[in-house]
Amino acid sequence: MLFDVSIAFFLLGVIARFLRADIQFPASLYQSLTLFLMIAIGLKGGVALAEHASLSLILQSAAVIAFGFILPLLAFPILKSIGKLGRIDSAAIAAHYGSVSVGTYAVAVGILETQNIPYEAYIPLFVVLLEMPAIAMGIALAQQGNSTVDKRKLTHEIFCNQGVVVMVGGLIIGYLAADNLSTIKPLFFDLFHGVLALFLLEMGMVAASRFDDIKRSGSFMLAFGVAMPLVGGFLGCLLGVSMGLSVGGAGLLAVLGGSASYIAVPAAMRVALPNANHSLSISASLGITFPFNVLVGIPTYFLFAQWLST
Amino acid sequence: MLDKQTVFGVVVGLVVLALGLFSSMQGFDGAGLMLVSFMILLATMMTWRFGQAETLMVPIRISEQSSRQSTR
Repeated sequence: MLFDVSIAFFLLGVIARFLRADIQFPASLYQSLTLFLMIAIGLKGGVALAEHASLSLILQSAAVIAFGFILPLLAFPILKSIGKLGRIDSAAIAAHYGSVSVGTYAVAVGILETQNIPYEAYIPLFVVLLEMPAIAMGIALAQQGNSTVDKRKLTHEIFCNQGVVVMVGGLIIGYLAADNLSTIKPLFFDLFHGVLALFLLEMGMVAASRFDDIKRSGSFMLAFGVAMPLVGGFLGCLLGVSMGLSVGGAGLLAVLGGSASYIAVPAAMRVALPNANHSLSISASLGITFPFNVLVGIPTYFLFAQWLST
Repeated sequence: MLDKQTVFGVVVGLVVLALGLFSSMQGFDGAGLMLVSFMILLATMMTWRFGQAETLMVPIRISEQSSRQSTR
């Protein structure tokens, strides 16, 4: 059974919230855990890049970027025509679902490592690449050429948000110092699973705190918050298999396709689309899609990968 | 008459249910998917029923008001 011990901590967080247990993480600790996971993922990816850098990786990266542009285009018409949401809200939510969740990716990596399932370790490069196209596409869908956004500020948010800077930095450091990381390995590599458990405990409480918002947003957002990850996950898996990735690698690309951002995109959308209903986007992403992916989605994506690979 | 959102919810619920059943038949754990599908179908049906009840409530409210006015 694909059940990781860190997921038990996520459930503990959910239960603690419903029991109204007074567990309080300092806000700075949550931020630190997120940064730790991003650096650790970036470093691991950098080490793998140093070993596997090739021309085919550039072609794979181009395909992944194209995938990042396609996902919001799939989500937008569903939100606008079926969900009857406004253009700006539809575009903002589509951007969230086109981008990726580093937390979900970290859980999937944790599961693979616990189960000893091999995967292409350079996938963190794809995590970074998938952060950006969805934001650009979301803005394009919302504005349709009538842009009144502060482009300088927005470009800064897209390319210099904390996720991109920390992960790209980790990738470069890992790439350049691949043979010389033994001094920081005990912190960033050996403690990865323990930190992930703490992160998921906090995320469980955060997700459960969104429960009332989800009830208010209605059944459509619940159905969308489950359907879109499954569609994105299936397409990501299909792309991974067609790129010749292993079952673990295709499963991870499916996780990236099926996850929704709750760190980088909300910050960018607040700058680009200040009139959008940001609470709706973050509730769907954190309250529906993140728990769905952690508890049900990730094993399903690896199932897709096994079906499509055979 | 079912609206677009209800149809979407029912379709998503049934597809997730089918996926869960298929996973179980293949020897994998499909219980989580089946549980999610029941939640989607239940939430969709409840939203649809409440939506219908609300549309039925409107004439009742109007008739209550008119009866109050007539008794004055």
